[in-house]
Amino acid sequence: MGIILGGESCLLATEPILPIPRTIHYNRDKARLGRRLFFDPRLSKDGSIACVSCHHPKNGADSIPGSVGISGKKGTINTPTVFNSVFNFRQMWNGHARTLKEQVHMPVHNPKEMAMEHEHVTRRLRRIPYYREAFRRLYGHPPDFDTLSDAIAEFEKSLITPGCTFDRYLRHEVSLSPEELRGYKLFKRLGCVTCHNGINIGGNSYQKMGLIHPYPWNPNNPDRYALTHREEDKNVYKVPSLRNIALTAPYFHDGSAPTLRTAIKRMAHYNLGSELSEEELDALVAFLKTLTGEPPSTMKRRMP
Amino acid sequence: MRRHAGERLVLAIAAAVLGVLLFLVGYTILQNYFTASATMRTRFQNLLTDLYALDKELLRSNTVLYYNYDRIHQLSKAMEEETRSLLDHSSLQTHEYRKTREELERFHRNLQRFFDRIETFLTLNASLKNSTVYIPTLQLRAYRIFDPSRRQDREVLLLLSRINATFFLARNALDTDFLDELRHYGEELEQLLPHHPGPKRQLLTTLRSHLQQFLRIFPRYTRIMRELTHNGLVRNLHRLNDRFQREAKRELSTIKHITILFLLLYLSSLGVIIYFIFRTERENRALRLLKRQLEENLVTDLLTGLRNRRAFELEKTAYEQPALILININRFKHINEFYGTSIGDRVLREVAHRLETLLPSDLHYRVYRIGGDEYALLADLHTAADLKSLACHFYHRLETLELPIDDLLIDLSFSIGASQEKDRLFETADMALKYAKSSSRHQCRIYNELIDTRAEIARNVRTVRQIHEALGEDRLIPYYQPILPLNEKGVIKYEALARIVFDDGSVLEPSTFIRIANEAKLGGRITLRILRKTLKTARLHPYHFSVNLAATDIANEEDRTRILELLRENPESSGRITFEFLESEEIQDYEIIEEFINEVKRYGCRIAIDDFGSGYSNFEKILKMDIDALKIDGSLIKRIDHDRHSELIVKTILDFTRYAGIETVAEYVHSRPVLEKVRSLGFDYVQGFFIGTPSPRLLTEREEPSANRRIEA
Repeated sequence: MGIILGGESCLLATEPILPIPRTIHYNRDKARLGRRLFFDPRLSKDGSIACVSCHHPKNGADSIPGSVGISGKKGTINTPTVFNSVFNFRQMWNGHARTLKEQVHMPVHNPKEMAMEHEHVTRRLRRIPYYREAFRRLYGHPPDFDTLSDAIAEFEKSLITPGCTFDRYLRHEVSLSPEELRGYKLFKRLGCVTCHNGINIGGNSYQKMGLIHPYPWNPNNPDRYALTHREEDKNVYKVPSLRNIALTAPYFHDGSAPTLRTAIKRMAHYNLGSELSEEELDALVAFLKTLTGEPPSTMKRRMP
Repeated sequence: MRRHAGERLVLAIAAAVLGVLLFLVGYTILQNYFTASATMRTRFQNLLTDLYALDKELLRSNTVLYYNYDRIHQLSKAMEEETRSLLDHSSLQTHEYRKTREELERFHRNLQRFFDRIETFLTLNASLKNSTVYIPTLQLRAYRIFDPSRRQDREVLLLLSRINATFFLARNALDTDFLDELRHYGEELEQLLPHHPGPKRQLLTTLRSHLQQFLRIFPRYTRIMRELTHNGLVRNLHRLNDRFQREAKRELSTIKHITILFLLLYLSSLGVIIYFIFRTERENRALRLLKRQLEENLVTDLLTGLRNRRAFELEKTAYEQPALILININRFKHINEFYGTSIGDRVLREVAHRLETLLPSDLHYRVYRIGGDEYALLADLHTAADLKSLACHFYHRLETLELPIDDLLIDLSFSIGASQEKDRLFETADMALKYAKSSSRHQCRIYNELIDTRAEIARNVRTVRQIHEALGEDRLIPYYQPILPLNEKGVIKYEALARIVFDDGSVLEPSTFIRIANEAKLGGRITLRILRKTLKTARLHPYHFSVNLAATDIANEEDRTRILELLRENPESSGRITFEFLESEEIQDYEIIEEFINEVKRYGCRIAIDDFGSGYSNFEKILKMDIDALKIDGSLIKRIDHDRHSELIVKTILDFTRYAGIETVAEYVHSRPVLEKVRSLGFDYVQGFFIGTPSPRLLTEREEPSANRRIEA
């Protein structure tokens, strides 16, 4: 727990939202290898897509409702951002992966995404001198899936976006504009914060989409129900992080909300049973825009 | 099983190393045990602490409206990791901790269930809070939309107030009893809906949704809250700790047994070392015993079993007042020759046995065999009387000893010598023994100074040494004593007499050394030396010389040959040499002498008999030996002037010599009356102090007439 809370003042702990730490510990060499893998399309069956194909450097996600897999296969799920995913309590929309490392398996094996078997990936990597050498150096043996996912996870740890305006406000470094501040207060008063709290402003519990007004359910939904098959888990998802939310349109698991404003409006309707006024929407959008941090340095350019 | 010392050392070292290793292994096992069990307890304690912290966070998230769920996940994650790491802990993989592991696995399963519930709890918690936030917000908004002055609107506001109040009671008390009331308000709300169109209805339907949502969720929420706070994990942890303590205790007793086993092995390795030390010591003892036996053999006479001469030498010093009795079997050589050595040996054994049993038992003594036929008895005695009585006791008991051996009776006699001279014990006892042997009557002698022959022995040794030195340093020289003729036909003669001269001028006469020289077999060499020197003198002077010759001098062939060689080498002087044989000597082999006489006569030598008349004067032998001269013994001459008996004997001898044509010499002529007498009797030559004393040089021409005058006057 020290990794996340360490060094933050106690006052901050009283707010339900915590700033992202400025730095995070990770193994640079493994992350460098992970970055290489993250950008390597050879991890997909036909060599057409890499991790980065859906998790773009600008926002850690893509800008289309359903992402595209190998052979142009169209997915039904909106790509969640990889940025700050290290702070999520689970990975994937329904928390199917407990850790970043586990998460690597999912897109690689998903027939609609990269469509690769363990052995296939391993065999392919072992033919590549760079990986042979790098894995041997870092893990002491040739590439296998476990170390591959470890390296990618290590790289993903580095993908944090500190320094957003709101974090700096929490640290008393800047003040928010009246509009932004009104948005934050509204965020709390409307009860958004009951789900969107913690360091990632979300990502730490499962919630039902359509608590007050039911949200249309689709059997292909990546919800908790897909895992538990309990009626009450229909349309239950991991609460998405609101960090960099202004950059990650479209919104929701199905990418059905093209703009932030629409997304807020719909969330108010489905989960609060409330219709927000234009002023309230403006204020909330203004607040959410303060959550855009600096893009991760490791993603932007070649790692040092 | 005998092992080399090196091998045993290696084994002992191996045992020591093994012992130390076992000790260290035992120590390490114990240390590991305590470290592991302490670590384990601490980790259980940490889990419990985290569990309490998690409980606290859950309660907080229940009560606090704005709450950060991250905390709960952090604690959960920490507990999950700790539990997994405990499950992987090497200590718990062993069979001894099977129960602990089972309990830990149970704890882990419960923990998983607990975490699953937390996830649901968080979902419900957020929904509940959503409504908790939203219901008052709706009421606040209702005040703006509804007009309290209108009765219909007032009813709505009142209902909303009741709903709000009951909602908060239920929510804060976590009491589902209020739900019926809320359900009832919900129905009322339902009935009011048709009367309020537009935004009013919208607000009321939203409120209805929240209320329905609350009514649906809240029972589950309270149940899950109860489940979370009564999770049984604490009990689980306590049981886990108990199990661990019990199994650790069992392991400790196992370790204790192992340690005791190691200790026993350690002790037995010590035992091995001690055993080897003991064995080595025992072997050393055996070696010492063997050494003693060998020493014993070294000091034991194998024939009789008595202690031997060596033992005697070693042990005599241990006595305070030693007394030694030497017992010699007389004529034992005869027994050996007569009866054979096997009987002789039995005699020796029997005598040994008798000697050991003859003595009074209260006496501290030991019997030794110190020579072929000689025994010694060593005892601690205090007075001379004791020794005498003891020696006599022996003598009388042995005097008439007749040993029965087979069917023989062997008659033995003994000689006994005894001494108490502590410093020269053996020497003096031996003297006494020799003395006893030499006398026919006293065959038992106690040493006293009178029978000390030591001085004589020392004198003999000194004399022999003096002779050797004199021969080596050319200090053995002839003195010449004139022998003058009493008639005109005669020539002047000298007798060469051996003398040892010293650097200080002192002179040793033959009477002091010649007997010893003869016994030491040096007579031949002395005679040769005198002869050589006399021959040399004879080359320079025209006189005749006589040289004394003992029968023993020519008994040795080598000496005889040397004499003849000397004569051959000096042909011009050897014709003037007369050899004087001592008549008194016991001549054993006349043949050698006769042959020698014949040989020297070939060189012109003459033969005289010295001291004739002192022994058994044998006229027949003299005739046989072709003698040229007789020298009448001084004992007959020195009193001839007044002793008629001597005169008669001399006259008889002279009659014989005249008949045989042999020259006569009178020696010991020491006075004028004697000279006149011998002249009147008709001697041919005279010799003696009255005529001239022995001297290293010859008479000068000046002295010669005076000597002659003395004879004539």
